[in-house]
Amino acid sequence: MEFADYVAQRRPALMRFATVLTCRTWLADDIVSDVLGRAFEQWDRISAMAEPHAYVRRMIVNDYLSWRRRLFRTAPRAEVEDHAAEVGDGADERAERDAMIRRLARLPRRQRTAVVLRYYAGLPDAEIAAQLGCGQTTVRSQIARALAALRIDLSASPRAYQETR
Amino acid sequence: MNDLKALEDAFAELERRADNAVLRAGASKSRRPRLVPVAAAVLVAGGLVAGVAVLTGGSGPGGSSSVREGSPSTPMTTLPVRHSLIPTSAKELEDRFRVVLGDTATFTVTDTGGSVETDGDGNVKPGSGVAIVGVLTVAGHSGGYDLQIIKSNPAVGPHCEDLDRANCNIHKRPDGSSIAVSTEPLAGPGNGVTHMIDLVRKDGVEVLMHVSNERDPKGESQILSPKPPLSTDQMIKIVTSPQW
Repeated sequence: MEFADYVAQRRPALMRFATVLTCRTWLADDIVSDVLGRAFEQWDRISAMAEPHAYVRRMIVNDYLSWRRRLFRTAPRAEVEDHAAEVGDGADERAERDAMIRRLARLPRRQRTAVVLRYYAGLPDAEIAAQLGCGQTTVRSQIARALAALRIDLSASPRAYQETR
Repeated sequence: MNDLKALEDAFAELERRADNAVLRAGASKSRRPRLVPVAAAVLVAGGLVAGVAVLTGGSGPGGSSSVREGSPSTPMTTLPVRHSLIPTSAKELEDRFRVVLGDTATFTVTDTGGSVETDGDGNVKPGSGVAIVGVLTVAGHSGGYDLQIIKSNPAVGPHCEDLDRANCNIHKRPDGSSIAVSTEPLAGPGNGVTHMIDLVRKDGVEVLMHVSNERDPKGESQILSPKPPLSTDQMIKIVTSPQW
């Protein structure tokens, strides 16, 4: 597949994944753009892989967790909070949804990444551990802590979200 | 307590926002292609967005995408800046860095970014400052570095990239400043690592420095040395130097 074809087909899905991961569209756009720029430079190698999309998505995770992204804490653009301010029309469901997004956004990044890879991307612990560079026990503890912070009781509904690809 | 349905709803809403962002981007014919040099992107990511956005006319939530190639940091230096500890230009930062380093190391500057943004009273706004990026050499060993001096957000102290890592060390210093010290493995082939020192002084000035054994301190670049040319102890001496 040519790189341009890949971008045309997969960029929307990459944006969704990155937005779920970061909770911010501007940050997602920044990460996806950077990652696609690097993917272009290595496209001969990436396109020859069995699952190029999985590799690019992993590049997004790596980029998000990389040290350079930490500095976003000083960036003035707080999209999550802006959206929160829009809520207030009495729609309980929307309010709860946005409250969940805010809780998600406040999670430490590795916890959030673990939750997204598990419940959004549907990856098994072993794959999540490989992507995070830690053991499966750590993955499980990260997810448990994240779910507690998200105030989610797994026993209530053990199903998993189906990512829109 | 919630069930997973609440999380699914959050995912779905975030997907919807992503789709809207893609649509908005597609509708914007004037949107420039991303030609930002890698190092400049670091600086934009480095909380210097506010200053850069001013330089480029501002661009809202997608602002970093519109930063022009080679449009780093020089304007706005004529504004009154009361916080003299924050350099008013990348050149000033480079000159100070040279003084602080003395004979310890030599360095090149391959990119610069950010700018000092002030409020109406001439005070430096939190998150604004300047940065330089390049290659640093000590005794024949080279590695990429970046150095930023910015006005810190008082509510946010220093922290490591990954608080969960065992090598993340954050502590208070006798002078009231706080410092984070860590070593991060870099993505990409090879054994790239970067040392990070993040000092937030009592006066709110933040000195952030990365030194890597790769050409690009972000990683995914050429390995230049078996290890970074400076140790974290040497870097601590540099960022805490009274010569800044």
